Amino acid sequence: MSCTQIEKLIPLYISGDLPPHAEHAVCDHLASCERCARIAGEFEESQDWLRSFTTPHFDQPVFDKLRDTVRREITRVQSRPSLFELFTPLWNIRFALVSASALLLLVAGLIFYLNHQTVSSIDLVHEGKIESSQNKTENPTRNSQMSGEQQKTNVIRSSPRRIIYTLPYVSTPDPKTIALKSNPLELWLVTGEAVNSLIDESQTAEVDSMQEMMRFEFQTADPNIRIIWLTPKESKHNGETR
Amino acid sequence: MHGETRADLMDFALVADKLSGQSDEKITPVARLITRAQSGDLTAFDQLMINHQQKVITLAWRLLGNPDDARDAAQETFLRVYKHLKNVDPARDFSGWLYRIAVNVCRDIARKRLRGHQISLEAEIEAGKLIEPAGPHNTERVAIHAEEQAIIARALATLPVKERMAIVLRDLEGLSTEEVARILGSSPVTVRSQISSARSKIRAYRERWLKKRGPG
Repeated sequence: MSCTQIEKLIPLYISGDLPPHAEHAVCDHLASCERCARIAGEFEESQDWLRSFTTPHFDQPVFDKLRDTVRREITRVQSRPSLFELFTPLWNIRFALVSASALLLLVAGLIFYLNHQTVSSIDLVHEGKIESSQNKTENPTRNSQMSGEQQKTNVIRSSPRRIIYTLPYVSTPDPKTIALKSNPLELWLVTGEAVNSLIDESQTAEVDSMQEMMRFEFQTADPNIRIIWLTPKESKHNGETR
Repeated sequence: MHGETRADLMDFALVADKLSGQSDEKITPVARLITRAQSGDLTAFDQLMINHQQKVITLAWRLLGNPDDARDAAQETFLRVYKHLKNVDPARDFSGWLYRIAVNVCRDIARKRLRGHQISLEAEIEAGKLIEPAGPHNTERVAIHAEEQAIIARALATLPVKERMAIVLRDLEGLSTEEVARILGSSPVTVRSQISSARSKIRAYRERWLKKRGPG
């Protein structure tokens, strides 16, 4: 090893912080190099000088004051009320009843709001149009341009097990049928399986006007089953099914 | 009264453990005090402070070089010890843990204090702030000793914080390199490098001071 390398190792050599092989190398070098041996001596003197560094004497009152301060601080922290304890004086039966009532009202309001929102969303999706059978025959070109999605009836999934199945507005120039536009038809409240069969096949709701009655026809998944619903024009919900 | 009763019970549990041979090496006076302090016995914590106050304040003084800062550091150290005492395993090395907290507290204080004016050896020399050696007429040993102490303190103050901590723990507190590395949260290789650099700087500082003082 060169002197430069040894010089870098001397600060650790004097306190035995070198690995054995490096220590032996430095030791051998110092035995033969006067200059490096002098540097090592200076480092050792510097170490002794540093170790002569004594701390000032702290009197007993200093330590007493120190411990006293720490104890006082600990007591202060321990006596500080927690967040729960700050609210404890307010906690009595009346407060509990008021809180519970407020919470109940809040939950009820939330449930009502969510239900109301679901019903509103049914109205919002009534944008698809199904033309009446009369219109279909009169304007076949327009009918063919309608996208599949527009022709589909709307299905709103309000929860995984409950599906509200609705028909869109009926758009027809027939004045007897136009009356239906103000009241979209909510026809089905069925389970998912039943709807799946209806989605594919029952899009051909036809609204015909009769003299005194309204007539609705639905083709189900089974080609042999067709549902026909007749209802008086004035009270649409009192219909009969055949 | 109530605290002491609980503490006695804890002692009883420790003695029972010892008798059953489960944890012979865990039952040390310090471990017992820690257990009692963990159960809320302030007297036990006070005894822990008495046992370690000298060590903590001395370390703080060596690291910070200022009695007032040392007192503040010792106070903050014991407060942190109390705060985290519940997480301490009484069987573990309490002294090392205490050192670690003290070093961290001193590091925080040193950073705050030195923010704005970092002392360096070069700046000291350039500004001529190396403490004047005692004149030949001043032959009193006390005066010389005080002067040397002030110079060593000044030399330590010129070191970067990490190097100062490493050399104080290794050379003045007498800890091994591995212990110093654990306390400082770094590797032994890094600590050796810091110690080597610090020793070289201290030697250079001393050599300059000796040259300025002259022979004799």
